[in-house]
Amino acid sequence: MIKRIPITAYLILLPITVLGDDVDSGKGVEAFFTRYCSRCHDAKKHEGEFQLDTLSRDLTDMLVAQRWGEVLFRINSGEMPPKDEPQPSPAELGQVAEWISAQIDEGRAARMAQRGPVSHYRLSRDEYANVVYDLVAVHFDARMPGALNEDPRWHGFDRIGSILSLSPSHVTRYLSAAETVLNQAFPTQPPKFSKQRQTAEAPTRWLILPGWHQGNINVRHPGLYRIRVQLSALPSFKGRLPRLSIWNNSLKRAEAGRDVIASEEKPTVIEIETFLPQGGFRLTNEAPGKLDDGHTLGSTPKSVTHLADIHIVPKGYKLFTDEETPRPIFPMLLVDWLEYEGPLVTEADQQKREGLFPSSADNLAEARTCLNRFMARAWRRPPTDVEVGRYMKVLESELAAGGNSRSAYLSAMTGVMASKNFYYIVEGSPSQQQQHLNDWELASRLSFFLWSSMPDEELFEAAGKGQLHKPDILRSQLHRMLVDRKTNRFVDTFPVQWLQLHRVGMFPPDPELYPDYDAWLEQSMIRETTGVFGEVFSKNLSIREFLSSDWTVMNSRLAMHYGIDLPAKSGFHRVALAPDDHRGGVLTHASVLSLTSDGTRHRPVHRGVWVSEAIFGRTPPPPPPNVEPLEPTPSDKPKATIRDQLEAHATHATCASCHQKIDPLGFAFDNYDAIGRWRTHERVAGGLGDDPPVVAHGTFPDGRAYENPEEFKQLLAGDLDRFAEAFVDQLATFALRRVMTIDDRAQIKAIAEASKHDGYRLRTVIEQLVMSELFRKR
Amino acid sequence: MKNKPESNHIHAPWVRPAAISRRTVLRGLGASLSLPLLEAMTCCGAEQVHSANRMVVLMSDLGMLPQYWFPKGMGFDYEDSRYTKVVSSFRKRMTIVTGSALPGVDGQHDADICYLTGTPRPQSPSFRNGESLDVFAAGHIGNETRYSLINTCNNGGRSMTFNRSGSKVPPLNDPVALYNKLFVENAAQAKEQIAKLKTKKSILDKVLEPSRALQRKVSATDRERLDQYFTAVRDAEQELVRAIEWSTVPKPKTDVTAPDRDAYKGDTLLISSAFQKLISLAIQTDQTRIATMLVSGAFGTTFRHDGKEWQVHALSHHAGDPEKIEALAHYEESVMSILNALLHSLDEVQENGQPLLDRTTVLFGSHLLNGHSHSQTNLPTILAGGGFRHKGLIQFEGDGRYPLTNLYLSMLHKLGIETDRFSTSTGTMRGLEA
Repeated sequence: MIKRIPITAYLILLPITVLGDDVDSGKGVEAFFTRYCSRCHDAKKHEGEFQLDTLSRDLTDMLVAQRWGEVLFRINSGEMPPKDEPQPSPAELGQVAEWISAQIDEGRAARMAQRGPVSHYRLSRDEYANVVYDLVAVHFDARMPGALNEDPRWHGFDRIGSILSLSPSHVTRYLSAAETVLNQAFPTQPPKFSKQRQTAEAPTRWLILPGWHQGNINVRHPGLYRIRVQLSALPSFKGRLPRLSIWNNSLKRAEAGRDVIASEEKPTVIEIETFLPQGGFRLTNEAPGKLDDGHTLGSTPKSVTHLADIHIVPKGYKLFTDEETPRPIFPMLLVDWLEYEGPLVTEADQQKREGLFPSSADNLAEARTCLNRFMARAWRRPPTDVEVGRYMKVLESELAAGGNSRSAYLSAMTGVMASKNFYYIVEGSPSQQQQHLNDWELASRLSFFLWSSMPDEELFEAAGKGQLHKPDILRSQLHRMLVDRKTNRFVDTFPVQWLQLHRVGMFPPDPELYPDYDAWLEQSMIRETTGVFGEVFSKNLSIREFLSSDWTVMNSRLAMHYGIDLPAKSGFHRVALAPDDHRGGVLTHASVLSLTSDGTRHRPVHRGVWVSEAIFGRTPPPPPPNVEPLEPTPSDKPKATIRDQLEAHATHATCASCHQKIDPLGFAFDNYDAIGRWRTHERVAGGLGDDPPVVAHGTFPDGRAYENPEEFKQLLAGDLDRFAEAFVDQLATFALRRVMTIDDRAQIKAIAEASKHDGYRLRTVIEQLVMSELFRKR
Repeated sequence: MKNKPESNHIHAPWVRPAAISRRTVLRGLGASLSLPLLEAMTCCGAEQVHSANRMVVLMSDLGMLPQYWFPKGMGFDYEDSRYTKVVSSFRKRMTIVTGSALPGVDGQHDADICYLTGTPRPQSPSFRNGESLDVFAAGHIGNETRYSLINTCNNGGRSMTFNRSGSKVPPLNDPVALYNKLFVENAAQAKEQIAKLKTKKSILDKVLEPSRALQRKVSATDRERLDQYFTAVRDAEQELVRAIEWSTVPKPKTDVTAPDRDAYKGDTLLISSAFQKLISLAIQTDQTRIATMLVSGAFGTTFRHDGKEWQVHALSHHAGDPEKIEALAHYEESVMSILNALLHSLDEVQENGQPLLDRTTVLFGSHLLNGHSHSQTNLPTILAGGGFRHKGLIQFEGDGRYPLTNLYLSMLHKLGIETDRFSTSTGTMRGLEA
């Protein structure tokens, strides 16, 4: 339990400005404290049992930092100085608040970095799933209800060691997960491969309108399945594509899917390979959202021969437009046949399992060899004899208790996966203080950074030879790893965490205000951002593209959302942008614009905070509690934008000092609504008159001004060195699984500078990080 | 802090289903005790008959509209507000508290994790949560039942229950899962199940063994981490021991049917109401003595009212729109009805000639007063049942920051748990002397 800290701080402030240019050095703040606070908070009066002059300035101490946090809280909340005392200027208060915040920030870093001889970093649940797949070729859905607990996040990152705690439910769930996984990897009987085919019986075809289901896929053994479907797929007259998905009957969700387009006359065959759990599945047309465009679905035949046959049979429903060449009102699928086969066990899968399971566990010597091999891979380092012996004892005691040899050996394997050496990445050894990672640890750091998983054989081999730390070996391993398909995990994970995309959809948009919003749009938004990151990664472009670029990656759903003309096409593509598209760079991605809104309105302050964190790497001090929310425009007053209200709202002494730094970073995007659509006027409920025009110009605290979002982006892109440093900081946080400290700052700067020579290409930045002292340091 | 492990031997002194000190006679329930328990009661008649203490917490995470929350007056003569009216039949057996807050707890929505721990500053970078009231109480009085604690929430990601090392204890999210825990026997697999549990336990034994030597060598920071690890593994082990012991004791029978998952369609109120009914049954059949339920409207959850589907969190930022305020008021009134149903269910059952409610301390509240402004002072709070000498309406003067943790300390004392503080408490709650 946290100890209560008895502070009732009463800072007495005199109306004299003592803060000058010395703020950064802390001298000015000290003068401020001495002159204004010591009258009450000194050794004599000790007001509120609190003495400021002797309060340690060493904020690496947790308790000291908490006390300073308390001081900041009292100032921020307006409790300090008391109302009956002279009030200082907002600027003074702001500077003091910021100084304390900065001290706490730096202290925090040091506190989080205080490391003993051994560090433990727990795997996130997504990493757990990846590791299990790479270890024994079993697809484990760690996010399924009841599988593994959701991981807490620190500013978007879900792999920060100091906050990934362990509770008993983790332990029991790891145990159950290990059993499930191992039983699937080493079954009593290998699952029977089966291949099935169903047809709609030509010439009839199954009609699948949105939300309808057809066909049956029965999965007895979980695993990888290949599903092939011949079908026609017609977009709606508004251009929405149908989406063929594999529907899980019991979980009521789509397991995999694809946008499809194919004319009625020329059907296409599509193939989906996906992992399926045990159960029943059907084909569905997942095109979601507001589909009817003014029409209602009625009773319609489930199978047809020619669409023309049903054009002419209106039975209280309408499926086609009244045009000369009628077009579908709903996106439609017409399916001829369906084939599915599985579970597919590839040679690579088999290879992973080889040598891990003895032909007979009664042969203890063989069992020991296999177990040793399994432990070395599962723990990502060779086990000691004593350790192997311990798990052999599990096997032996199960055998002694009358268990059969298979289940006894499985118990030993389960134990290996229930050990902390499996679900923690362990760095260091209790017997010696080591400054650098050893080769095994380096292999894991590298693979969890780029693959979100364990090392592969080749990397293990390099570590085993004790050569991985040698720069040329490390570099060649890095180059090999960068072209491995497993980097997809990096591309899908890092941008989501860095840009906090987990917040997309956290506040679902109000369906009345945003009727066009749907689940597939939400998915598409996130995929635009990871898609852009993937393109920059695979083409090795400059990180400048994240701030400003003349292309993006999108699908037809997103193009429709952005009002960009894109020929109906399945999947995501790189698309060139024109200036009047008002897009390019992550700042104008619908994902980022949505996650910084509240589902009803855009939030300039949230957007400013987001820019500050993601682009500048600085977290503004938190707002004081109990701030009165903005009220709606009264019906007898002219309509006001949120910006107008915010600017009129800064009545609190301390508000303005922070907000003048945050808000200009957010106002630039007032041209985008709460789901990221471009606009020139802000829709305002209530009030008199027309919706007011958007004002998106502003001035940075340092005086640089912008007129519109494009100029804002150019200002950011012009300051690329600063962004590069923040980006390296984020990348290192992800790779090292800890928050960067003030002590890391010089090295981060050096990594950024070393990447400058070729304009901060992404792979260069990654390579500079991996080859740095920082990366090899414990 | 947990004691350091001394040996491999697992102490589980509370696991003694063979001598269940359950002395409850239940009447008028949808559930009845199964035979072995009744036999245990008669065979050991010489033992002192005693009643056990229980606690139920109901938390609603978006606060209460202040205009409909605050009753007026003092003592028992207060004038009901729209919301307190819902539970007015318990006026004499509950205390409404205004003017209290959790000291130092900021963080707006994210402070739900501090509601029962009281740990200050959830947003500060060095934040580590403490042990929550329910876990703390379960550690003392949760030992004699099949489950030491049942915690539920309609909303996947959120929880207010945290163990000794400050790790989240994930709540049950599905009423069907709770129903199965309480009433469904897996008789066919029971034997195999026990064997499995035993294997799991012996695996954990082995897993735990080698790390002990390590623990003595490491620095303070790592020790904290390892301590968390040991706590987790040991607790998991004890849960297994408990499950093994209880696996031979039949679960109570019930004629209440399993909840229908499909009927909820994600509706916060329907799910929460189902949880309330099951928690009432769990307390009535003495399968647990500590239960907490978080009614969560935070982020993405919905309910249906007036033919529409509403997003609760979006409603809480009603921006003064009368239609939205009315829908939100309906939601909050429904939460009050869930509280009312809970109190009634505990009141209509007698134990040793005393309503179960008098042995069950019920706390209702929120970590926010007003979801619109995220204000965190003057929190809505009701204490009911538990055998307290209730006071009607207690209003703390001042800035609405009287420590709510003082109430938690009072509750712990009433539950018979001796401790001189809990979290940020400065004493027991003024005006509520037992």
